Amino acid sequence: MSDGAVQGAVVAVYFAIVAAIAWAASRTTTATPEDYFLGGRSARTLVLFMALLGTNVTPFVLMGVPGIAYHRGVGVFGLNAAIVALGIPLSFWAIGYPAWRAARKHRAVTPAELYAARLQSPALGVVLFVAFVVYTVPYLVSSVLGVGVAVSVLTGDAVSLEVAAGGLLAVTLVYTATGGMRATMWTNVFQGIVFVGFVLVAFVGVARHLGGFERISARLVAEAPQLLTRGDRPMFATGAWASWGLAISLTVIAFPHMLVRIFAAKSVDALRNTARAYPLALVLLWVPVVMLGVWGAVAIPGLEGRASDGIFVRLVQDAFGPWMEGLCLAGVLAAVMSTVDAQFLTLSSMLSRDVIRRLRPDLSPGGEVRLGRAFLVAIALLTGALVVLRPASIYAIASFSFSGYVMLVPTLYLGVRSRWFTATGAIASIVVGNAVLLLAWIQPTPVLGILPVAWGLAAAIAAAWLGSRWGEPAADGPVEV
Amino acid sequence: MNRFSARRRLVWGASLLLIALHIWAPSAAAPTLVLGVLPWDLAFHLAWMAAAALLIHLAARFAWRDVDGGPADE
Repeated sequence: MSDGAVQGAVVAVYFAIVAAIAWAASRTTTATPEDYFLGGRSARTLVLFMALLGTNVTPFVLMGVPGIAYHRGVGVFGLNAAIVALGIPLSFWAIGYPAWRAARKHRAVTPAELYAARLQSPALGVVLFVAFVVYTVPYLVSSVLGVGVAVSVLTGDAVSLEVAAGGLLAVTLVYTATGGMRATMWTNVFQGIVFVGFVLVAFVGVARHLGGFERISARLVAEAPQLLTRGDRPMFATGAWASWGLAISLTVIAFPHMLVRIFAAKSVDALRNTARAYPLALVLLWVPVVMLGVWGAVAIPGLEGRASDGIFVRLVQDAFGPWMEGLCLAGVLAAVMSTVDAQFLTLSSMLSRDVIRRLRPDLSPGGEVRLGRAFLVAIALLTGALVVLRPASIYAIASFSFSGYVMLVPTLYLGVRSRWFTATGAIASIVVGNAVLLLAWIQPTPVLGILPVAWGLAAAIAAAWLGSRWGEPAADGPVEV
Repeated sequence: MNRFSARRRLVWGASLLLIALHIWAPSAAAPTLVLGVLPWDLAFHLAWMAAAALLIHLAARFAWRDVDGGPADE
């Protein structure tokens, strides 16, 4: 059996298991929007945790982070992983929980629908919809690009990025369209086990291949000591460090595909347990991916620019045989599909709930679900077209999206917790925050050493306060927590 | 102020302290390995994450109220 055939067999088994889980889920999914788009709001701890983790973990973690650690060293761990171990669970508590309670009360399926209902402003729903789409589509593209990189490295370019991306989009489209949220959440449990398990096995296996943890560490001290300290690299300077920490902590709760999964929680216990488990999961994932990137700089030196995005896969290739390479591919596919399915479903739910239902209020629940499926196809085609263009590195695309989402955080928090926040304040916050973000983004260097995201966030908060001089706050007051 | 408000303030206060420690984290000038394998910067942030995990656990247990008093998850 050739190496390619072995890899293909492993991936085929992975696809078969995903398909079987999705088929089982689809048999319990009814044709109502709440069931199709939110799984009947019935996700318990394990499913909710794995769905949120699976949605959160993308090629940014499995490919982009090792790629950047290859060039910048261990400081990437503190920059990206540590702060989110606090920031993400806190945001689940401060924003996710009140939003979950309000979504149940208003029977809202999408975040835009929730905030438009609470602040009694269809215009706010439209603005939120546009903002979510503008930042989700590039993020979706970066996810799919990760698979393309992995496949082309593992197959020696025998399978092109376009073919790999097309296959991934097609499979994800089928199971998401048939089973909706329940299928995506159930498959995410399996996918999470696959990618976390693979990362841990790869970490130990690559270390052994390189002579053991102590030997590779000693080589790092001798051959690339600059990667073991933060040094004076601009990305680790205090201003950039603090503002990136702010961005990456706040951005996750503003992903519409994360917020929608929080809406799907069955109980507050499921949310609490998920928050508790999150830091541990981050350690299990991030220590290996950062260290693999750093080890890669010694084991396979000389990769320039975004070529380092493939370092994780190259190390696996060097350390293991075709079975593990196949598992590597399945692991990357699992990480990507568990995000892409959530993004597909959320974008299609927003299109049908936040746009079409406003234009056609008489649309039947079954018609809404059918329309959601049609939108899934359109979104998959758009994503495929953008992937072919491959506009920037995975890390760069993700950074752009992360910063954009942060501009929505004042609205997401104040919209459920404030006594004075109005729809005018929300719209002003989103528009001004994004305008300032873009202005700061086009500067050749960060203003005063602070990243654009911090300037945009400050402007979004100020505009929220100023804009709320006009309009009426939510009639039912802040959501009690 | 009810007991949950006081606990929430404690959680936010402790979070701010941790964030300050993260921003002004001591960084090794020379490459230093803890236990022969862990770079200093990584070891420091692992310890920081352990503190963050403990804080989240305590927050979920003592400061995160179930307003609706719903059924347990399992």
